Amino acid sequence: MKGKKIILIINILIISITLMSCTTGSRELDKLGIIMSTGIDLIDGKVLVTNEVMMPISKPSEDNNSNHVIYLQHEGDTIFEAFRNATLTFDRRLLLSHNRVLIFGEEFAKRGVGDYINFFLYDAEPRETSYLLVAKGSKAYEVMGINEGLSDAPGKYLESLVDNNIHTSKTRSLTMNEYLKYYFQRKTPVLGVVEKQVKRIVNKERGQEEGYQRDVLNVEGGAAFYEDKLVGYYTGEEMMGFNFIIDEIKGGIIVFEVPDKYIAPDVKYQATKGKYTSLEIRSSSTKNEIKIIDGKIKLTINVNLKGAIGEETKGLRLIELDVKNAIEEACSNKVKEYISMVMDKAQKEFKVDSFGIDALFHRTYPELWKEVSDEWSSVFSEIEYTVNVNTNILRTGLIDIPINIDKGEANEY
Amino acid sequence: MNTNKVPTRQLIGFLIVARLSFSISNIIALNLPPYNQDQWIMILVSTIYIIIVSSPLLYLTNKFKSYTLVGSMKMIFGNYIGNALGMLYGLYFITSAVNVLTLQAELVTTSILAETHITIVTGVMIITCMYLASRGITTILRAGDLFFPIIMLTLLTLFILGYKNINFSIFLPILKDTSLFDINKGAMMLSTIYLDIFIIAMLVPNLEKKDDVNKIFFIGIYANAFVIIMASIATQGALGIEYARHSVFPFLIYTRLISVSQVIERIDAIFVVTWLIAITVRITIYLYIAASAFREVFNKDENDKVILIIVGILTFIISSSIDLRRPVVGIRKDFNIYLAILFIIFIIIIPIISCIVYLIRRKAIEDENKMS
Repeated sequence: MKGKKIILIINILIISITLMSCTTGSRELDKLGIIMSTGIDLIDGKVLVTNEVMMPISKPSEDNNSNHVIYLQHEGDTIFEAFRNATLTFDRRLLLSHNRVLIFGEEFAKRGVGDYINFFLYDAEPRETSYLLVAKGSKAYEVMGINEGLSDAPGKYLESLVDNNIHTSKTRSLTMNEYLKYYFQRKTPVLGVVEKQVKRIVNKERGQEEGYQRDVLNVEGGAAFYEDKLVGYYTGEEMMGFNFIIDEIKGGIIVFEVPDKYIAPDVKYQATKGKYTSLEIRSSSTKNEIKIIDGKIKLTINVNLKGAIGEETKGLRLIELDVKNAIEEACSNKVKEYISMVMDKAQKEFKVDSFGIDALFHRTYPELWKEVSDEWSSVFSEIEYTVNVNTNILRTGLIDIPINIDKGEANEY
Repeated sequence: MNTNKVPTRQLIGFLIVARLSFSISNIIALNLPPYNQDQWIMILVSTIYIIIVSSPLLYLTNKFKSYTLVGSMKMIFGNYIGNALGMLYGLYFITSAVNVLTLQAELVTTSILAETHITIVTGVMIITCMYLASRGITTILRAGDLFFPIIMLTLLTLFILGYKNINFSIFLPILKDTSLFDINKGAMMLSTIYLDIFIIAMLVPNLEKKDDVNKIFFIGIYANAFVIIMASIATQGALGIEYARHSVFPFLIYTRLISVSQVIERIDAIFVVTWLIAITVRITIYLYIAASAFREVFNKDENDKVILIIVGILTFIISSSIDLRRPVVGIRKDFNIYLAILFIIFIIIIPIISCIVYLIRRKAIEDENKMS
């Protein structure tokens, strides 16, 4: 009896393993085209899909600069058709599971993306965690194929640039899932922006003249959407303000100018006097409040910022408490400026609430929300706002007084 | 034949595991009124309706603790009508098994085995469940006992890993956008998919402590409500209210969003395996109680495997033929209507009539009960 059971279990295992994984649905690496990034454009009413496909290699190429990727462009009436049409000219089936970046051409983004991106949700292969970007001023395929970093492939390079947002907060690393969440909740998602720029290359390569220029990618700024259509762009600085408002600042540098009156009267310059101070953001939290006062909606943005002095060029004596306070105030003013810039653009130019103020209003005044929800765009444009920023300098770094001034008799005692 | 009795704790754990197959798959609760951030309140209210609609069967179960549901029908209506009702209940349990099996096959072929033929997925599942069902109720419940900590620990891990994706502010304001009517409508609709009372009604004679029927029922209801609320909060918070409704398997999407330092990613296969274990338990118990109902109708004991094989093959054929013809998750309005009609017949109308007849013939039935 025991022997029969063992034989039965072994048979079930063999049948299961054979049927489930080996003969049906097996997808070997040498039969797949692994996509690293995808660009979507519209050309003459048809969807043009550009895929960056990785070439699996067994050993490193002698040419260290080669990207080991190829680019495929295919058209179709739908994105799915365009993807499948790839197999008409390409010898492998495309695999979307590793695709981390999806780029919309500007024209496509302006036309509206809502109908086409359904493809990425129907199928189980694409990741909901893929980054979405808009190619500013260009087609999506024009920003593909550029790798001026140390990554293995241009797609990976682009993904790393988006990840680098934690160091600047000048763009937005919005994923597909987050896009859908914002789209459904507020109809106003803000996507990251990628732009092709020409930069002087300092590396001297054979056959290149001095001042040789190459294309690089710049991931900075935000693409403001209303519903599924691109309405305009925020600059990098405006995106810092944006990230402060929505409390998604992950890091970055704030560069500001402290008034000259805080320079000590007896200061002796040992080197050139600079202009700016840089503060590295260590942490930030924002609490937004909305109130109706005298029939007017008033928004208060309260930012609590903690940072460390990373650079001081003006010759300020940081050891003095009033100087520290002045630096904090100047930094706070700069943050206010960023926030005002983005708020003004959203209210006056785009007339789009990209910040979720509507959700805040809904939570605070649920009854009133029902009356204004349909015309929120015009209500938002009229909102009066106040920005309160409280900056705290937590660290001053390894020196207390910049080296371009003489420390003199100043001391901490 | 295994004649061991079933401990109360084991059956409660089993009901929670079996229920998870619904709680974490297509999360029907998200697609019921009020369709907003107050969904979790509706789920909580639904427990009241579950108690109300299950009360006739619960009453009968309490009155006939030594009999299964089919046995109690025989006692109330006599052999002819009792056997006919037993047949109908057997078929209803097969329908429930088909419902779960088709759902399972579609999730598996959608998520992890996209190119495996659906018949193979269904076939392997039904063989596994039939084998488990053939070992008897104590083995089935012990399997549930074994799976319970594994499944709960996996779910807890998924909740913790995906916690940073959950935006709790979307659950505000509470009860400001929802009418009482919508909450009650949704709660009533949700209560129509709660069939666990049948499992209790069919297993009551096997219970170690038969007086614990009510305890099992109530703990089962509230524990399940807690799990569904957790699942709906996690999915709504991570996906947003509307996207969670658009998703056919929202909890699967929730697990796909989990990314911890780009090391722990795409762990949806873990979720699917967990879910498969839960659904195996559920299909097994439906097959078992369906076979038990037919065995009782045909006066066969638990050693008889023929009925179980017939029930299994029937379930397999119906499930496969449905799965080969149409989607059952994305397009299931008609299914829901059929299932709701069957629910009303089998969990409300027949039990109420049975209660009335019991109350009318109470003395005669009790005398008969004492004699037997």
